[in-house]
Amino acid sequence: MIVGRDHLRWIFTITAIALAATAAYVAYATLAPNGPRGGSPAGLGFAFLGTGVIVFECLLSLRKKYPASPLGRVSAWLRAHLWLGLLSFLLILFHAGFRWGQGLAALLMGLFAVITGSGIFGLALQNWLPRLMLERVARETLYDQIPRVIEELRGEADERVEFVTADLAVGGGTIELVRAGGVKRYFDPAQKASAQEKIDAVAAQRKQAAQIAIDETSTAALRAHYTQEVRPFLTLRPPELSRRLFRTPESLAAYFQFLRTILPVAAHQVIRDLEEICDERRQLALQARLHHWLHGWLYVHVPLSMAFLVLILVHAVVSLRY
Amino acid sequence: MAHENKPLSYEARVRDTKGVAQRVDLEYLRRPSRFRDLRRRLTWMAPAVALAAAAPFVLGIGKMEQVFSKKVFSNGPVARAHAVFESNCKVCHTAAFSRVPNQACLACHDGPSHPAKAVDTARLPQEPRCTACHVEHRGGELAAVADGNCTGCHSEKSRRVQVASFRPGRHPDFPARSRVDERPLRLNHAAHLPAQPKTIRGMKLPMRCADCHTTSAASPTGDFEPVTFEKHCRSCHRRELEFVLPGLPVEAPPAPHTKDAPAIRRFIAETYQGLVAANPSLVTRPLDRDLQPERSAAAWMAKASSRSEEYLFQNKCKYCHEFEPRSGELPAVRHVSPIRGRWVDPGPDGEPWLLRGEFSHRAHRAVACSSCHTTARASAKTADVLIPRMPACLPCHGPSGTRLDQCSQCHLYHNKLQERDRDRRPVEELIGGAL
Amino acid sequence: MAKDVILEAHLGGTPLAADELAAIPDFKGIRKEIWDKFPGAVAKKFFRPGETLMREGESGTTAFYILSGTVEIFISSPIASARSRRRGFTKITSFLKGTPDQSAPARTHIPIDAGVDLPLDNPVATLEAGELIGELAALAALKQERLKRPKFYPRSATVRAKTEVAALEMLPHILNNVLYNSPVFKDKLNRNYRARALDAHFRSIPIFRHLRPEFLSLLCERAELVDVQPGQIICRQGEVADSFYLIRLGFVKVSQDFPGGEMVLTYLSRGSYFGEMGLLPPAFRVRARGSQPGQVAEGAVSGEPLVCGRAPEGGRGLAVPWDDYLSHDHFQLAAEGRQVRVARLPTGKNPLTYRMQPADRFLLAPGDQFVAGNTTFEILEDPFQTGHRIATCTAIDFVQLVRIQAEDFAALLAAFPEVEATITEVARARRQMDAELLNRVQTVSLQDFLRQELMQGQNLLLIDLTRCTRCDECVKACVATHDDGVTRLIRDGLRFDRYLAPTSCRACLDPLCMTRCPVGSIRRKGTLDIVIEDWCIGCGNCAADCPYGNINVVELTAAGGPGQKAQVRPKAVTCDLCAEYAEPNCVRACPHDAAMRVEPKSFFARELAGLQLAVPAPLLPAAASPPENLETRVFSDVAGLLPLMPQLKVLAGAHPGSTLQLRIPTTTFGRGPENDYRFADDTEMSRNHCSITLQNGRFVLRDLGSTNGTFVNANPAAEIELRAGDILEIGELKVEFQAGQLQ
Repeated sequence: MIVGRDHLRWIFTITAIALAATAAYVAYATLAPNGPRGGSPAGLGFAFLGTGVIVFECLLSLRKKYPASPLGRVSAWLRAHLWLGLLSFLLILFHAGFRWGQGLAALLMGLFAVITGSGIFGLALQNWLPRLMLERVARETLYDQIPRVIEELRGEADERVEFVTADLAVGGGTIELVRAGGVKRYFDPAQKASAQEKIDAVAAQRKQAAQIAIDETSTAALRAHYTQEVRPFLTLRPPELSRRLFRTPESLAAYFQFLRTILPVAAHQVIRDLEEICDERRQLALQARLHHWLHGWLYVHVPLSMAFLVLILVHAVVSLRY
Repeated sequence: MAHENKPLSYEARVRDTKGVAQRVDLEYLRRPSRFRDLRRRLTWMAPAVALAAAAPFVLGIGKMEQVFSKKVFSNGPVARAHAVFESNCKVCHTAAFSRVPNQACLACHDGPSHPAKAVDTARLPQEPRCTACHVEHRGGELAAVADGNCTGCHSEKSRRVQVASFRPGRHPDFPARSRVDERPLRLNHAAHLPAQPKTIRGMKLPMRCADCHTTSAASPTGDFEPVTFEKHCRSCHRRELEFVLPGLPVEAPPAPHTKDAPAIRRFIAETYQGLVAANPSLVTRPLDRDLQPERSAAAWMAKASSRSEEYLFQNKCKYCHEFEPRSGELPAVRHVSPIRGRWVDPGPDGEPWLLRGEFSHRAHRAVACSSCHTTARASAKTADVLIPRMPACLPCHGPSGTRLDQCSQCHLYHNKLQERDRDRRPVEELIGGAL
Repeated sequence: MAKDVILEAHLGGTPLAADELAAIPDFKGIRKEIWDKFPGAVAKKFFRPGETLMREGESGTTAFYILSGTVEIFISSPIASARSRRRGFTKITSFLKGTPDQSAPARTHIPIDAGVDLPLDNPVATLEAGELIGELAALAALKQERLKRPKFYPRSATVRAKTEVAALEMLPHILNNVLYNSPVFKDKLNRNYRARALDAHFRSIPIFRHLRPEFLSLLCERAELVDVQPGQIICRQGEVADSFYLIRLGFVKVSQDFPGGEMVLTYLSRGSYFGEMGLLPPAFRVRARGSQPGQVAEGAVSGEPLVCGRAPEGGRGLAVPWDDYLSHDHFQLAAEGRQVRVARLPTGKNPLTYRMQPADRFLLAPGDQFVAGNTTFEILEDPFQTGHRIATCTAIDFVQLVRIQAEDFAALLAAFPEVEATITEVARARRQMDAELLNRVQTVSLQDFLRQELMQGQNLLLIDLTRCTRCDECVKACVATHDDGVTRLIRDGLRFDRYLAPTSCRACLDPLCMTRCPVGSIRRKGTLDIVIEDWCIGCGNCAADCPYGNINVVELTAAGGPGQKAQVRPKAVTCDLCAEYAEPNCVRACPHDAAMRVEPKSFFARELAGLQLAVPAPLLPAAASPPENLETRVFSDVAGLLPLMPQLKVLAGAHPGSTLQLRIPTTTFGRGPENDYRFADDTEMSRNHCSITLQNGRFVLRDLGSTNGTFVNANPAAEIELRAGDILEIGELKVEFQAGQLQ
């Protein structure tokens, strides 16, 4: 969520509420004979307000489950989540009277601090990383589909190299999946088989003989370079060697420039496509890394929030019990 | 990509919307994904772990509560005096989901509550809760009650006396200062504390305060022992008990220092009889300013006794004491009530000089007496009350920055003197189980 | 390759020789020589009861003619999502979850490739001897024959023999070249159709559902059956409407012209109807204008008399409260055909003035004016209900139509006012949609768009990649929205600028997906969204035709009724723009405000041009006159947009050499501030001098009653169509009309 002009209203509102709450707190802290306490009526009031806000914060995940709900857009909820979250931290501090407490109370404060901190950290990342991704990962795909796309890229690269080298004798596992994008699907086994036959026939033909003819040594060189350096890179976990070769766009370009110098012009079209494929693979690796950053903080934020919610309940019961 | 109508010729890569979409599994959201599932699992596991960890504490299974609960659920350390049952919540928290009741406190502490006036005048609708002022789980002393608890009421505008804090103008001067010491005794502090040192009757003056005012070892607050003639005055003021008429060449013991006039009369008579027995010629001496001796020994005896009595009562006793105004055969010395600590003794409870406050001379033993009792040197009359004025306290208790200006430093809400002893409980009950 | 599919090696069964064919009584009138030309193209087959002639979803290119016996024709029951009735608590939760209420389907019948329609609730029908089945598939195959990569029609339904059946299976040529050429056979087919199917066909149309049977039979008799060849225009935009059409077979494209091209409004298939809007009686409006500015009132004129006066009784009618020379109820207006009848009421005191003459009763045409009291009344035409065709309809297949003449239709409207009400309502909805569409296409496509064909979209899902955190909430929302749990949205695609255009329906201007549906289940509802109705048979034509991969065929589990087993069937799914909801749920569910549904052209025009600028700086008048002298609200692109649009080049007057951009649809010129181009300093110009309006793709100059007149090529002009190079003189301003690339 980009914090921008559309947040101004929230910022003003929350600042106003925070100021009001601070005024109330200062008044109560100075007037109360025994100082601010969590158990005093005002302290309990702050606790209830804070807890209410926290529960609302956690409802965000429920809201996401029902996208069509008439209770406002999810983005409005997230905006509220963001600002009310900051407010709730203040309210809880007021509730605690700026004391860390001990035992469960201290644990709760610690958890809350971590949750709020991770939230702010995540927000900062969300403001920064998407732009980075837009810039650096032009060939982005769905994170979950990266392994699939890599496999696809490998298949494509195999196919394209085979135009020069004929059969590479590498197993191209066919992926059984329901493809999107309006791919023709056969529900009848017979039709399916006949379609597969057609595909296989073309593949067999391609493997049989090179369609782009170049001299023997060049073919052997391409085959060697491809199978030992390029193809390993097009796997889910590329070996160290390939990873080093294709780490940066510059090294990648240099590698293929080198291939161009040793291969005849007829094969350059294949090289160009290979380069594109490798660059896509490189970008996907970057995408995965950025994706982990972009979403990793949630793995702290959300589970802890849920645990926090449970412990709040315990805290409330125990505190009111005694 | 697996198209059945794929041509067998090299085509450049194209990237179009349809092709991009066709790389993707339509049902990818339904398939397991390690990264995505991890989050879902964590989201369920974290609260479950929290719940599992919290459950034993909440349910108080076995001895867990004793071992951990004070650390886990306690809001903070208990007061020093309560530390013994810190892990036994039930001692104070007798009922679930309610505040700590007064009975829980009264089980051990039985002090009368606020001076009854507050309740009587319906200023407080009901007896205030103990915990309203005494805040537990903050460690330290429970008795150290924050000023706000007092000033909340006592600073109200409607009150005759408004107290906001121990500051000039915000706290009234001590009422004792406006009183007069009406005890029938003539005491001249100034005479005992002359500015120039000198020696009178063998006593080096000025005297030290402690010569007369000695603290009582029995009193926790260092209250003074009562000043008594026998202990403190006799050494110099023995003369004031001598009754032998001047001119008689005899030494006689002084009269006892007592209110009992017949006893003194008896003592005088006996003393004279003893003297005459030792020295029979004594009866021939004229008495006092008489020029003639008495006609008989009996007459001499009678006259000597009565003259001595008169001399003692009229000249000597009156040096310090006053007599009851009533006329009688023998004059009666008015009773002088002693001062014990801050109490003047006559009644069963005494009458305090400091009506509301508590003062510990022991706590102030480092301070020279004259620092506070500045008027003592100049006080020539008994009527002077030497309790210092409020400004004398301010260098230490005022806005000096120390925390000694709390109400509870001087004022006692509960009158400890009235505290009754409670039934005592076995220690197991307090610490919640066997040792 | 196409050839061998169409001319299958052998049809099976018994191939019939020419003389055998000529001997069949149904084919009487077709000479043996004709049959001779197509040997082996017809085979006779026998089916025992229960045997299947054709199966739904298979691709097929032949037609069947039933010689004897009865066949049953049916499709698997539609995949209707079963939802339990909601009450109480469920109601509250479903409200909070935002589950919409299920609305009833708009149609009651499923059109199939035979002479009958199948009722939606129980899609079974029987056919008897003398019926042709599979005409559409066969004819379409014939059309495809010429293409390099032919696309074939699947069978729209399963046909099973009920009794012993003898049938002729024939190749498409026979249909087109032999049978349709034979007047006798054609006539027989038509008679059959009229007798058996037309009635049901009429009834399947919502607006005819309430007609009385005798009227319907009259319509059946009087209706004309028309054949149209592929590419032939059935009716043209702007023509006077003369008939109402019902599609019996094939596909019809409905499009509108607009400057710069043609926009496909929709494709219609069997069972749909068109042409009703032109047949509605023209609607008029009357506008009263007082002597003071701001004294304006308007009212609609229909067959019912509209009372007009200072304060018409009962508050109905047109009130002209400012005019003291009018009585409370002064006169009345009523539509009479294409004219409006004005009549003074007995309560009206002052006479009316028409053409400078006092008059009591007269007929007015649209555009005419008359005066009553101090107020001028003008009759206006409702632009969308003029009695003219508002769209062009073109056959894209071999199309067979049922045509109802205008007079029959008028009789129908007269006899059944509720029909008229329904049609008016439908017409209003269509009109709104058309107006909306027209608005959208008026901003011109940008060059950059062309590559990605984004201009095809009318409602494009975009994801702002600077905001998107790739959380997939949009996809999850999509899955959650649809009962079947299949996403209509793949968050992958090409980028444009800083936006990602994910794979999701973009509501194309020319929805290719709708062109080959055998059962007419993919269609545009009242709005832009393309929906696939429950009776889809999962043939995959639409998925293959969508150039953007936005339609997928998936296997869904049809909820069976009580006692029925749930069956798994293929069905095409696509984004329906969440028509049942307030807004698309992917957009609604985006936590980061990244996803949006936009009209791409206006959206990106704004992105590129930065702002809705006024005219670029050089167009502004000199410093002598303040900038508000020349005002315009043109959307202007920085570079590419302007040359595309027609414009005026200033030759003399204020700012010679600059260009004035024309607005769509109307640009006005004058001294008054309300004009698009205002020339406050031009003393020769009137307050409202003239206007240039876009009408049917042409720009028309209209003088608005100016004092000094408007001159085109030095000739005074009241209303004239502009051509490129025309010199206009408006007051002191002299401009040249330059046609943009659009003209």
